[in-house]
Amino acid sequence: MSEKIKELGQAFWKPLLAVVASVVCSWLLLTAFGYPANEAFVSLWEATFKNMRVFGNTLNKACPLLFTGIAVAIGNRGSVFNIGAEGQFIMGCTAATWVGITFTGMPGPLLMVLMVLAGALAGAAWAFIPGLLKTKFSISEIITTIMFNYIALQLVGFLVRNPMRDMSQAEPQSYSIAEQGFMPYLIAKTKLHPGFFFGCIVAVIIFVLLFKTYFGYEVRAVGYNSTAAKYGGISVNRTMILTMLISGALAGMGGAFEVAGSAHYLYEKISNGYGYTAIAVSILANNNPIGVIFSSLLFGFLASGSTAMQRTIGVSSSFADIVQGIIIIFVAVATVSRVKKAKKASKPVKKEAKQ
Amino acid sequence: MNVVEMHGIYKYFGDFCANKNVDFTLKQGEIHALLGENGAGKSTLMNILYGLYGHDEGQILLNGNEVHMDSPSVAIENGIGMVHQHFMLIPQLTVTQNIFLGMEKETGVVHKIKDLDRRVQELNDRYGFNVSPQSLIWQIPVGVQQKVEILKVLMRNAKILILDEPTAVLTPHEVEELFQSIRMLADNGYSIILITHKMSEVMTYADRVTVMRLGEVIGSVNVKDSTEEELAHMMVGRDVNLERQIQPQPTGGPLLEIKDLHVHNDKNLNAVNGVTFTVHAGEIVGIAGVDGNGQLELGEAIVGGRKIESGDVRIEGSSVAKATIRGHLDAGLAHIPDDRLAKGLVLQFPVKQNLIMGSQRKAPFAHGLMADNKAVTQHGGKMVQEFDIRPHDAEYLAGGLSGGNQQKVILAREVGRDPKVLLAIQPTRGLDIGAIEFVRSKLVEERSKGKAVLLISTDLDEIRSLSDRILVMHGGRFMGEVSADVDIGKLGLMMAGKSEAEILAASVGKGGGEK
Amino acid sequence: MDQLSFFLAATVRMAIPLLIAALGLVVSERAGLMNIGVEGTMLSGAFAAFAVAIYTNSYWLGLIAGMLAGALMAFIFAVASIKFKAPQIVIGCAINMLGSGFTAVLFRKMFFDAASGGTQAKAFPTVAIPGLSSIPVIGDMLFNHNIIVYLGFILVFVVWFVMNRTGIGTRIIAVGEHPKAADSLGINVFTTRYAATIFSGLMMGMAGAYLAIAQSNTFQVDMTGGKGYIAMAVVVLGKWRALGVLAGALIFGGSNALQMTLQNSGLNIPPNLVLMVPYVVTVLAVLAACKKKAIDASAKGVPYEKA
Repeated sequence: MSEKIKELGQAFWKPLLAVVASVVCSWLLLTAFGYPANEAFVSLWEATFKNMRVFGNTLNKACPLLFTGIAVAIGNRGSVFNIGAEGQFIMGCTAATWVGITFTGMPGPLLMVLMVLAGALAGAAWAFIPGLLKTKFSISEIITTIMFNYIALQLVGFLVRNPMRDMSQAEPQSYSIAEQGFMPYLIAKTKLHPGFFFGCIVAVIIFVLLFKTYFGYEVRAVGYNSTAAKYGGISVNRTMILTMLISGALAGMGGAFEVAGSAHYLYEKISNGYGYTAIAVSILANNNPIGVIFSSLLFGFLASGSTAMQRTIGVSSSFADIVQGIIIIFVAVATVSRVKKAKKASKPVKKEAKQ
Repeated sequence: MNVVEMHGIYKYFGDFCANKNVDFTLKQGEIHALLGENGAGKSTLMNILYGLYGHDEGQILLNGNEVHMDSPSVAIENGIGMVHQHFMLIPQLTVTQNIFLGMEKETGVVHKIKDLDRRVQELNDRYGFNVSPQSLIWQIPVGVQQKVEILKVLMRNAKILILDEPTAVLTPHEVEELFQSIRMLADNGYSIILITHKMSEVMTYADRVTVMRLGEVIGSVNVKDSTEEELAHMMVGRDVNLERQIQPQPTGGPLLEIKDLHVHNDKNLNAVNGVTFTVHAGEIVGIAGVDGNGQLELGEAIVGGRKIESGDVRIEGSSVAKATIRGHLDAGLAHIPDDRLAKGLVLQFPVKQNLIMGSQRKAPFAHGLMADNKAVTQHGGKMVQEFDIRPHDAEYLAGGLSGGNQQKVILAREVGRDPKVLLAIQPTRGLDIGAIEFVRSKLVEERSKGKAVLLISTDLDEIRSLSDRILVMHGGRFMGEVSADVDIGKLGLMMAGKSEAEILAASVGKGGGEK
Repeated sequence: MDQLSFFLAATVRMAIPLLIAALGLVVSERAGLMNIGVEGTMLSGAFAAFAVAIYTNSYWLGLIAGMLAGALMAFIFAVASIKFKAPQIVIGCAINMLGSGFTAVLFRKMFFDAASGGTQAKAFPTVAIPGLSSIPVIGDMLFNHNIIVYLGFILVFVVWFVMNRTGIGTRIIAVGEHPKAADSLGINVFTTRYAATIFSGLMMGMAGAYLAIAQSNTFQVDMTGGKGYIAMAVVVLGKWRALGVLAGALIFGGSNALQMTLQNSGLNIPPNLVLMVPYVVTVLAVLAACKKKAIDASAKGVPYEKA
């Protein structure tokens, strides 16, 4: 038992150290740029944890990151680098919105379920093509998923300007989804919707799928060594496509929760780069779905905090990107695969990096 | 005169001592064999001399002066050249580009290609190599690549040549040619170190020999003052047992049948050109041949890892030619792949999870979709004991084990599935003696249990000591079937591409002349 | 005729940033590095070029600054992936975030007014080559551009020559293809990879500078809009060869120019659909290119470890 605790500690201290280091770096950078760094951190706090209302916002911001983060995590475990979570998320938003503005006569709960399913389906479909191109033609999923992000972005731009446009609004945006499809706010005076909690359940499910089922075994085997997996009788292509589909579905589901929970309509910037931030979220969590819950919270905190910082001290909210970049580099350098090092060491190494 | 003297060399890899107080001297103009089993520390010693590895203790003198071999460039500057067992050539570059790689001091940064080609051609002519300077490496056969390696070393004005197992991938005829060139070099004042574990090469071609065992030098002798038996004894530390490891036993019905099989290689050229054979229950069939003659592709096709162009593979009577790898496994095939790191193991998985690869969907390891970790752990614990996988802990990552123990994991997994057919490709390559014996004894055990064993190996001793029957493969075809007590010369001719019928005809012709 | 001439000239103009970045990638990828941080590196180059061009009023200094900024980003990538052997794709993502973040933050800090379109830098002027530029159709296409365009074409030849006709090229290919072999000949794998990465950073920086102070005269947040990723696709399409990359860049330049031509054509096509064209073309082109065997470095993305 104590060994388990020790392992857990080991899994946590490196990311934690990286976060602390990046906080220090941020402070130094803000000062160097001539911004009042202390004030910045105060506003960061006030905008995220100060009271229930802002904390609700933080959780809402973390929700899309949680879904896309799990999406990237399962992809990374199966060595499909899904940089397309952004596009899949956007397509999820789009499909959910379409359902929400089309089936207006449907009772609320049913409509919500349908929206989430539509989002998942759209995300999976958007991931399917790069997945197919990777397995059938060995085309790097990195280039294709990113191109699909841009295509999705332009597609939404087209939809909210043309067929789905709500003309009563000045800015291009779609009609609102039917009101009974709005997810309820969980706590009075907050806008906290249940997305984050559903996300936590999904995280647990994906964790179980990855580490407690034979399918997860196959996904990870393919991710670590696809040749050995192939000779072990695992269909590498099928596993990769399935991984990609699940990953896309998760990102798309995140989009549906964003629409049904927060935005209620579709607009061009609905994603705000969640799919890219998700990469940082997943890396910080060592591609572990349970860990993603915590790291998505951190980055949700950073996202709502950085908007506040722009408001109060004038630093661009893109400062969050810098912090993300720094965290990724620190974590990536600190957790360079232990097995590789182990090969040179004389003593065998225990345990796959899971927790 | 001693051109190289190494004194008291120690080299550790972690806790493992690869070289222990090693002394070695090389005289000018000699062919000096460094003889020892796999893992005896020969390559380590030479990598130290060449500056690829640092050493932990000891001294290296070149022509009487101490030199610190920090990197290969120091070795090159001091006239040492090394031809590695695994060729150090860049497939995408031409012969000339490979030969002059990293030699800007001499060629200038800008390559005058015609000029350089001409210099390669000159060297070619001088030592009777026949290599076309403009060919790309990936387009030329291994025998020629070997020559490129030697040219590369000569072009760097090396006076001391280290050849690491240079004949491993050559046919007997190519070996003959190679040693003619090497003798010519020695006669011209070059000093040559020949790393080998083949006794016959030492006896035929070397002047002096240093024998190593388990990281230590056992002794250095002149070849003509010694005998094969003496050297063999020094090498293995006991009397060599090249005797057959199997007793005759009756065989059962056919379990693996290959019919007129055609398979392509990675370059989409014919690799296996219509082979037909059968392996019966209770026998080991060995496929001998020089590397790169289609054995690997044959093996991959039998497992289902490579597309079959035409022909059939049957396991216990049912065809698996179109089946997936899983289909093959389910039909009763077990497979020890040639490259355990790439094809055999997931290094980041613990041993216990590697032990269920291929059975992960079956009871008791899975119930429905859910994996049964308890069963996996239990099975792992049992297997590490049974196969003596060290350490005796199934939780260790496969990547942290030694090569021998990694191979035992694969063996345990494959044999543990209780297969009908066991296909072993190069099952002992790169293992230490203990592990080699363990693996071989397991193959024999499977044979006695009535399994059909197909052994593909380039190690002739292995093939000869384990096989009931031997098929010799060359250019994607079988040159014939021989029994294990076949004359080695005949085997050599077959490996070089002479069919049994041709050999028979030649010997009859010769015999007739004498009469 | 005017339409065609406009289209061809626009093709070249749009191809150049892709071409220059892709030439850099040819060198670093063949040396065995998979740097997907092109986007962020180009952005850094664009911003540095813009800022320095404003403050010094010199586009040449701007160009140099842009290249140095690119080299700095590449250096960060190199240290993390070569020295610390961190996974290269992950580090590339981080570089993109850093590039996007730093340029946006600094842009807001230094040119807050410019955000509303105020500040403009002095950009590279068009230098028509006397005589040649008045040839119909191809005159505008080839001989009526700013200096970086001409430089881009010269760089194609330079990269081709270095990769195919010099010891530097064989060294680069060797460390990407078979680092152990290179090491055994006394070639320093690490130094070579550092150098190749930094060279690619210089090129990406130049490509970024072109966007900010040659193609336009201002910086916009995230102005690369995926060009870095498209440059990666160009490399795949060009099969890791300088001349192939030239052809690939022109195809993508053409698809961009087509998009511009469509927008100017007066046809009533929704602009978002037109803006999709380059990305769709990228996917299709990569699909078309995958059929033939390419020469991508075998050891790509794999950190080298000495025994």
